[in-house]
Amino acid sequence: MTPSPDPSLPATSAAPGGPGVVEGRWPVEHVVALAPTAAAAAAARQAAVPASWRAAGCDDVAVWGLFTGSGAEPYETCVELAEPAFRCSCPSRRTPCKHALGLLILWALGQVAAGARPVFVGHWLARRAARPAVDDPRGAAAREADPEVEPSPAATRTTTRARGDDQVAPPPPPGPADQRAAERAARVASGLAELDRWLADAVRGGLTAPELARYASWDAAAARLVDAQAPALANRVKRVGGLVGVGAGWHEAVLAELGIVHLIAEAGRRLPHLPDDLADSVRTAVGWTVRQADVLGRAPETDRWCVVGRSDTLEDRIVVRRVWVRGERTDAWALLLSFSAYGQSVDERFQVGEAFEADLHRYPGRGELRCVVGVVHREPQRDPVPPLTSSLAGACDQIGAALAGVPWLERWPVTVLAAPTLDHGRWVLSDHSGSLPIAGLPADWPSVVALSGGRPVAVTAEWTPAGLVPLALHAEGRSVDLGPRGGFHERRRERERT
Amino acid sequence: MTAAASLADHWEALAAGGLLGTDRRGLVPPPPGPAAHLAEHRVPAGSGEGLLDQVALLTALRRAGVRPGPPRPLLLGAPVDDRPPCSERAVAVLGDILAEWPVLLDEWLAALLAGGKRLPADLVVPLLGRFRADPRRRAAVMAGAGSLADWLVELFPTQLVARRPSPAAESPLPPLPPDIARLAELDGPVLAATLAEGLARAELTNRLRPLLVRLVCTVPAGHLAPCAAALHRAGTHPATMGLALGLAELATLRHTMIQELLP
Repeated sequence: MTPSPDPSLPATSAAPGGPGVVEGRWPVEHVVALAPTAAAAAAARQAAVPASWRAAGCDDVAVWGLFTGSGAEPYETCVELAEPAFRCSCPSRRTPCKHALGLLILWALGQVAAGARPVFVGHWLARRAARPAVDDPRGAAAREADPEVEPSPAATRTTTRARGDDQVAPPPPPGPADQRAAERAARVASGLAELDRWLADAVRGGLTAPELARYASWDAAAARLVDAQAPALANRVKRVGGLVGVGAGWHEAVLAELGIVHLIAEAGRRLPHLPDDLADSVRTAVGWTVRQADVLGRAPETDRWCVVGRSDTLEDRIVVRRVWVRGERTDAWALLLSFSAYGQSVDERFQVGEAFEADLHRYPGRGELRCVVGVVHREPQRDPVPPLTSSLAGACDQIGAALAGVPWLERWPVTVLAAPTLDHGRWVLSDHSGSLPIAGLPADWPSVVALSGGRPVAVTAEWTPAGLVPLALHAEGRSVDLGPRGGFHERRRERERT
Repeated sequence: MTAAASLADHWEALAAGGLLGTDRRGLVPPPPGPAAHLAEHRVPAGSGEGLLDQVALLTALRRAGVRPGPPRPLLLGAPVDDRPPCSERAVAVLGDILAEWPVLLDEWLAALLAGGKRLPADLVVPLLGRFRADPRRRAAVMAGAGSLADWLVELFPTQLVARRPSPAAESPLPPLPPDIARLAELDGPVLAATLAEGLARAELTNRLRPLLVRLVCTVPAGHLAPCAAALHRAGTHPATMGLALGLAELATLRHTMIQELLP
C-alpha cells in the first residue's frame, strides 16, 4: 500500500469532526483551482484569514460572510455552492473575486460554521432560483439584466460553448460536467507539456544557472501548473526549488527530483494507457481531487487503528498534518491527512500512542495509504501496546516494494527496532541487518537518544529520499511523539522568501 | 563517448551532465541493462529530455532498491538507573507547573528525589536545556535524571552543557511575613475556614496574592485537600473570585504532586 505522493495542497481532510476539518466540504485545491490566475489564488489566500471576516456562516446551499476591507462598509460576500456562483459587493471586476475565494478557502478548511442565512444571502439566492438555468441560453440574457449574478468561469465557458454548438446540434450534447472534465483534462495536459519543456530547458542549461537559484523561477513554474489545475505537481516543483544550493551534493537531489517530476508529467499525459490503479495514483500526484463522498462510498476497512506517528509540514501557509495509523488485526498502514490555515488550530483528534476502532475508507490509487475516517466505533483511547517492528533490512523491503509500485512516493512509514548510533559523526539507526541515516536531525533528536539509552528501541519513522525522519518512539509502555510540528523548515523558507 | 561501466557510473555521469547542462556536456550512453533498454525504445525530443528520462529511471531504481548500510557499532549505553520513572500523572503535573505554577517547580524536583523516582527519559533533555543557566535547578534535574544526564551531556555538549548562570535565575524566596506565616500553623480545617472567610468577605485581596500563593505552597500536605475544597466554595465574591479559584487550583495541583511523587 502506498500513500498519496505528498498530496498537493491544500486538499481534503481525513479526519471528520475535528478542528480544521472539512468533512463534506470541497478540498482547498478545488477552491484554488477556481481562481482565474495564480495571482488571484495568492490574493485569495491572503483574504482567507478568519480575523478579516464577520458573521461568516454556511449551510448546504451557500457560504457567506462580511469581509472587513479598506472601505467604510464591509463587503457582503456569498457563494452558491451547487454551480458555483459568486456575489460580492467589492469593486473588483474579477469573478470570482479574492474575497469569495478567501471565504471558500476558510469554509473548505472548516473555519466557517453552519448558521442561519442573513437577509442579503436569502435575497440573492431567491433571485437566482427564479432565473433560468445557466445552461439555458435564456440564462445569459437574464444575467445581462442582473449583473449581480456571477456564474463561475467554468459555467461561463459552458454557456459559450453551448451557444456555439447550437448550429452543429450534436446528438446528444455532453453535459456540463463532462465538458468541464474534458476542458480540465486538456488544460492539465497542456500544463504538463509546458512543464516538461521547462524541465528540459533547465537541464540543458545546467542546474547552476542563476535563474534556478531564485525561488521566483520555481514559483513561476509552479504558478503555471496551478493555472493548469495541477496543484499537487505545482507544490512538488516548489519543494524541488527549496533544495537548490542546500547541502553538499544538492545538485544530485535536485536532479533526481526533476527526473521524478518529469516521470509524473509523462505519466499524466498517458493516463488512458495506464492501469486504473496507477492512473489514479498519477492523478493524485498531478492534483486531481477525489470527492470525499466518493471515498466514503468505497469499501470500509474496519480495524482497531493504532496511532503510531505524526508529522506536520507547512505549505503555502497551510499546515498539513499526517497521522500514520496501523491496523491491529490487519497490520495495514493508513494515512489520515488534515489541513489548517497557518496560525489556526490543527486537528488534534488522533494522538500518537492512542488507538481507535473505526471504518477507514481508502482513496483510490495503487497501494494508496490515504484514508478518510468513516464510522468510529470506539473513540481514541490510550494504547500501551507497542507497534510491531521490523528490522532495517525488512523496512527497506517494504519501502522498495512501495516505490516499485509508485516511484514518485515522497514518504513511506516504517516501524523498526533499532538503536541510534554515530557513524563517522553522523547519526544513524542501526541493527543487526544494517544502518540507515537520519534525515536532517529533528530538534528532539537528543530525546530520542535519551529514550533509547543507546539500546535498540521501537521507532516509527517516515522514509524520505533524504533518509529516515523519526516520528515517534515507543518505550517504557508509552509512545512519545517526536514528529516535526508546524513545518519549521517550510517556515524558514517562507521567511527567506519574504 | 563510451558507455558508462555501471549504473553507479551512469548516475555520476548524469549528475555531472545535469549540473553543467547537456548543451555543454552531452549525454553519456547508458550501460547495458534497463537504462540502455529505455534509451533504445524511447526517442527523446532533445538532450534535456533524454537526460531526464535516464534520471527518472535511475532515481526510481535507486530508491526502490534502497538497502541499509553496514551495521554500526552501538554507543556505549547509558548506565542503567534502577529507580522507577515517576508516573505519567506526575509528568502531567510538572507540565502544569511549568506552564502555570513555576512556584511549585523546586518542590516537584525535591519530591521526585525524596520519593526515590527518576525523571522519565524524554523529560531529561528539555529540562536540562531549560535550566542550562540556572545552576540550582540544573543540579536538581541532573540528580533526578541520574546517570542518563551525564551520558547525554557528553553526547550533546553543545545543547546541554551548563551555561554561565543567568542573572534572571531565581533564588530561593525569603520567608513569609509573620502574619501570613501564622496562618500556616493553623490546623487544616481552621486554615481552610480562615482563608475561605477572608476571601468571601474580600478581606484577602489580590494585593496579597503572592503571599497567599506562597502560603499554599507552604502548608502541610494534609491541609491541602480541605483548603482546596474551601477555596473552591469561597469563590463567590466578585472581587476575589479569581483569586480564590486560582488558589484552589494551586492547592489541588500541589496535593496531586505530593500524592504522585512521595510514598
